[in-house]
This record gives sequence, C-alpha cells and structure tokens, in this order.
Amino acid sequence: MSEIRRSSVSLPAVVICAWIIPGGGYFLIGQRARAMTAGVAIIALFLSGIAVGGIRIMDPPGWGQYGYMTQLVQRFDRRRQQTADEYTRIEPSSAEESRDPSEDDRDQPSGSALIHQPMAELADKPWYVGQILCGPITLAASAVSISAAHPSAGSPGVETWPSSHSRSWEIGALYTAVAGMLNLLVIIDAAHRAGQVH
Amino acid sequence: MTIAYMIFFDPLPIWVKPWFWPLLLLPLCLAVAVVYKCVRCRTMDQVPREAMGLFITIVLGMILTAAALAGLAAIMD
Repeated sequence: MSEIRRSSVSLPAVVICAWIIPGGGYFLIGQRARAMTAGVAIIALFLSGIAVGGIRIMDPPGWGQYGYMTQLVQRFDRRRQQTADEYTRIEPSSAEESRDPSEDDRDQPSGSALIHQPMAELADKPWYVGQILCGPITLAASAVSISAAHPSAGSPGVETWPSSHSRSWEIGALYTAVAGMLNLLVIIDAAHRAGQVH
Repeated sequence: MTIAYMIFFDPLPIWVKPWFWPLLLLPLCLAVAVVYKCVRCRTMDQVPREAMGLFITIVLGMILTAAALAGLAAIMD
C-alpha cells in the first residue's frame, strides 16, 4: 500500500523561499531541474531588462527623479493668508531639499508621500508591482538605481546616471515586470506542489 | 497622463526604422514559454520541446495579429 503523506517542507517556507530566490520553492521540495530552469529564465529576463533599459528603469514608488523621497508640503497661500488645503508633491533634487522641502517659513512639510499617500504613489508607478514579485533582487536593483540617481557634487540638478527614455525604458520595464509576474506563477505552482498529497 | 500607460497609446512602430525593437520581444516570449512549460509539464524532459512549440505559437500569433492590424489600418487610411 502506498504511503500517503504531504511534503515535509512547510508551505510558508516554500512561498518565502520562492520569492527570495526565483525557483527556490521548487528547490526546497526537491525539484532541482525545474528550479534551475525556471530560476535561470526569470533572472535572465530580469537582468536583460536592466541591460536594455539601464539600472534607472528600477523606479520605486515614493522616490523622485533625483533619488530622494518624494515629499508632501502644504503651501502657505499668501493671497488668502492661510495654509492651502491640498498637498503639493515635491521631488527634491538635493539632500537639503529632501530634509526641508518648504519654500516659505509658513509652508507645512507633511513628510514622505509614500507614507501619506501610498496608493497614489503606487498607482503612479504600477510596473513596480510586477517587478517586486521578483524578490530581493528588485530591492537591491532599486537601491542601486536610487543611488545612481543622486546628482553628483559638481553638477547639482543633474542625475549621475540619467534614466533611459522611450523604447529602451518601455522594453526594460516590460522585461522586469514580466519576470516578476512569471515568478508569481512559479511561486503559486511551487506552493501547490508542496501541498500535494503523495 | 502618467508614463506608465503610454505604451498603450504609443505602441512600437514595427514598420519604420529602427526595426530591431520588435525583435526584443523574442527573448520575452522565450522566457514566458520556458517558465510556463516548467509549471505545466509533468516531467522536465518534456519542457524543451513543449516550450519551443509554445514559443513558435506565440511568435506566429503576434506576427499574424500585427499583419491583421496593419491590414485594417491600411484599409481605414
């Protein structure tokens, strides 16, 4: 009589491992050939996207063009002599502006746009939802991208590594986002296989 | 209009130079075919043949769709 048992690896462990390393979920349940094939295909697609569009295609929500966190400010309306009801979105171009984005002493900085309006920030950069599914490789690439966006000391207001535009940006973002969505497919399948009764 | 949606309003011009942009869709199709067949196939021995079949199907489908849309655009012009 055949033994009826589930995979010895826990489902959350498979899902987390599959997100951390594309194909890692398959590896954990012992399907190494499947893990290598899927993982190499996904990582190659992700890196190809960066190769086509440059590292600056990693454009995380909440960070502006110059690699500083987008800030919200309630401007002081001089005509009405009161603080405006609406927030103004500021993309700082220097560390100083990032710390204090107000232009007038009576402006009221409200902090990071990512914290106060996370959904609005995410809706502005929806491709990142696909990209983040690729795991920590996305976070690492985003950190490099943010660092590369900071203006150099000699040329304020100019990005150290300008972001690509037009087709190269589109293809790069498409590659990386599709890589993330393929990883989601692989995560779900690895979890399904881990939960199957043998 | 945010840049996120521009690809749908300003698609790749496949009929003018530089003509290499559409070729960049081939690695994308290959990766999709390989990963999809990794998920679907019972044994990994089947994956290379099945993935190649899916890759060819996707590419042919895109070529036929592009030809049909180009024909439609020519008629409407």
